Amino acid sequence: MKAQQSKLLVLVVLLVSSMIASLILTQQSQELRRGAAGGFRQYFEPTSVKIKVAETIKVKSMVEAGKEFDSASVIICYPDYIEKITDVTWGANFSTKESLLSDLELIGHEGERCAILDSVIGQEAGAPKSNGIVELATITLKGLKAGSGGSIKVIKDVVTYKNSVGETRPIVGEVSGSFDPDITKNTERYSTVGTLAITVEDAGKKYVRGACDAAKGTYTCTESDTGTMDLATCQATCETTKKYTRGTCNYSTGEYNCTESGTGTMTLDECKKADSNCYLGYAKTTNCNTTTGDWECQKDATSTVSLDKCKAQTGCDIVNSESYVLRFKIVYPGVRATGECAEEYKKLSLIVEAPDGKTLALKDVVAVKIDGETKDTGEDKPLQVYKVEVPLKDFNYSDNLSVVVKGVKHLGVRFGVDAQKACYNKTVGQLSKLTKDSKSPLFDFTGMPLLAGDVGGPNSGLPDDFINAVDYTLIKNAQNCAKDKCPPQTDLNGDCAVNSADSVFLTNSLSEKCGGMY
Amino acid sequence: MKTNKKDVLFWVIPVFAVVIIFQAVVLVNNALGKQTTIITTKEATKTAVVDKVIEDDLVLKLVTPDKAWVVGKTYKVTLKASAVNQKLIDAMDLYVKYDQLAMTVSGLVQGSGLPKPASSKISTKTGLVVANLYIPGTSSYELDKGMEKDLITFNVVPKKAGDFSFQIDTGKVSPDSVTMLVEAKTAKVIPFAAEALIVKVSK
Repeated sequence: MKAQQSKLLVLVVLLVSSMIASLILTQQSQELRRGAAGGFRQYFEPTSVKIKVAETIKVKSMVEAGKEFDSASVIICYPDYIEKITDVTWGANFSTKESLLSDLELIGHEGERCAILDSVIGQEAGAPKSNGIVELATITLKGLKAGSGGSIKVIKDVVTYKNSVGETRPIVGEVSGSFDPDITKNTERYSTVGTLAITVEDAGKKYVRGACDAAKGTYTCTESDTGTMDLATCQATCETTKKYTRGTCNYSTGEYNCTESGTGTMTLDECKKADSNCYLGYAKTTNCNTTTGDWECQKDATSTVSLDKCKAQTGCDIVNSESYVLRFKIVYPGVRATGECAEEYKKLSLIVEAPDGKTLALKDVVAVKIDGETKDTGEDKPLQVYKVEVPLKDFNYSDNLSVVVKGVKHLGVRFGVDAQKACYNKTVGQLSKLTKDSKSPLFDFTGMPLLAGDVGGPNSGLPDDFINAVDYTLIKNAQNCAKDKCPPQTDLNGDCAVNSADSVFLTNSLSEKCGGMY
Repeated sequence: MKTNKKDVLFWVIPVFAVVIIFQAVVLVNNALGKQTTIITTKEATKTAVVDKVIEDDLVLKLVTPDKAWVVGKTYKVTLKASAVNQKLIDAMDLYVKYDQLAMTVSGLVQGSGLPKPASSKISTKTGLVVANLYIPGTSSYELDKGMEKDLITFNVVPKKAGDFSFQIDTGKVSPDSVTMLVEAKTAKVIPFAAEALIVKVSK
């Protein structure tokens, strides 16, 4: 019996607390409904901001009004880590003459800054009354010192303040208008008010720029109260005033020897930088790789032979290769024997096609410069000839082949016949009689230079197998860059400079490209 | 019997309490929900407007001064560009698709202030008018806000009657027949809205 009574008691308590909770929630509901339907709800846009010291940000004080009104006053208090609010732009509905921002010394809010914003519609006849979602004012906030956890709070209830003569007066934030037809003017308080969380972060250390650090190539920077830059901005790259003259090549380091000189024209890095005439020296060993036909080479400080040339020296041939060997010669538009920045031209991508349509794709195939061999293609100076020799692994075809050759900044060109001079459009190639050694025929593709200009694409920025307006603009943007600072991809003729000549090679490719799509 | 009444009371009271709480929560949620909807709608409208601006920095359109075309006569078609905001352009690849079986196209010329095309072609094979206009030197081609400029103009002689269209190609004819205007300095392709031209040709 006792147990049942205590159970009943628990249930009664549960029922009573449910009813109280229900009452509270229903009251809140009614309050919100009043705000939406007939009352006034004040809020901020946005509801939280984060700024740095000395930075400013604009926030809006808004009201959602369920009926027309003439003026609205909002009492706010804000933390002391933002500057005193002085910059307010009144909402479009309100008079700039009659609306007013005033500081308030509120009792009980010591240590905070408080103010009242009175947004007032003009008194002129026919001035539209406000209704719906209305912007009362845009307030400019400025970070004074680092701080967080504070907010702009709107005081909803009656508070007291000290007026200019030290008297204590009551004040309340409210909305005014003719809400009741029987009363000329009456007021209503906000049903709900908003808050705006504010965080002010330290602006960080500021730096003053000093002299150029020749070794690092950046400005030296010192922290200072009068500084205006952050460290990253301050430490921009700079040109050292020291200039160098290039000497002989140091084949043990692959860099030029440089001396500081009054008549020098290059920075140290520019001066030292390796090119096709200065590189690490290699000497061949006695080991010949009969599969690739390349000598094995090792670094040799006394040698003036580059690695590619070392490997390609005569006397090491492909012998009894399991694969047929494709050999051909090519030229690149504008790339001459003197092209110092043509090193990257060595890398090619190939697609070899058999008469039955089967293909073999090869990447990073190395083209080797043939010393002393050039080709006159009608340009003002002859072009450097490069040789490719590559085994066609697991591709058991020796006749009627064609090959698409693509350079690092060149469109793929299809070669199907020896001594080709124009686009090859036949279905089946005529490259035949390949053997499995270095005696395989050396096809001559130098009559048709590769098509230069595939510099970058619109999406990834990387070459996209098209030459178009994006490539032209990238070259144009790079024109007249300082030597050795040009984006390598835009230097189409390998002369270490980007200029109108590169644009010409690109536009030539537009009119010469194969494929016959249009 | 007395025990049964108490049992009923034990489960009726909690159920009653739960119903009251549920009702109150629904009331509050309804009120809050309506307010959220207002804000969301407002934001969605703003975003839509901004997106549109971002999508279409340029408007490219094909126009002809003559409304009615007659077979055998010559008409001019112009590709015009206007910018939502001022744009500096360094290079343009323009591809206009036409019906090569119904039209003969000739006399392709660039608009005032533009250089001679680096490459141009009127292809009867694919029905494409191609013009690669690349601005040389350090200058750029300026499209002022709201101003309309002629990029290319060509002559068209209709060969047969019917409804035909001229369209700015964006890669439909071939993978590289993509019309693009590239912004100076950034080398970015400027998004554009394209307006085709539809002509009615009579005999």
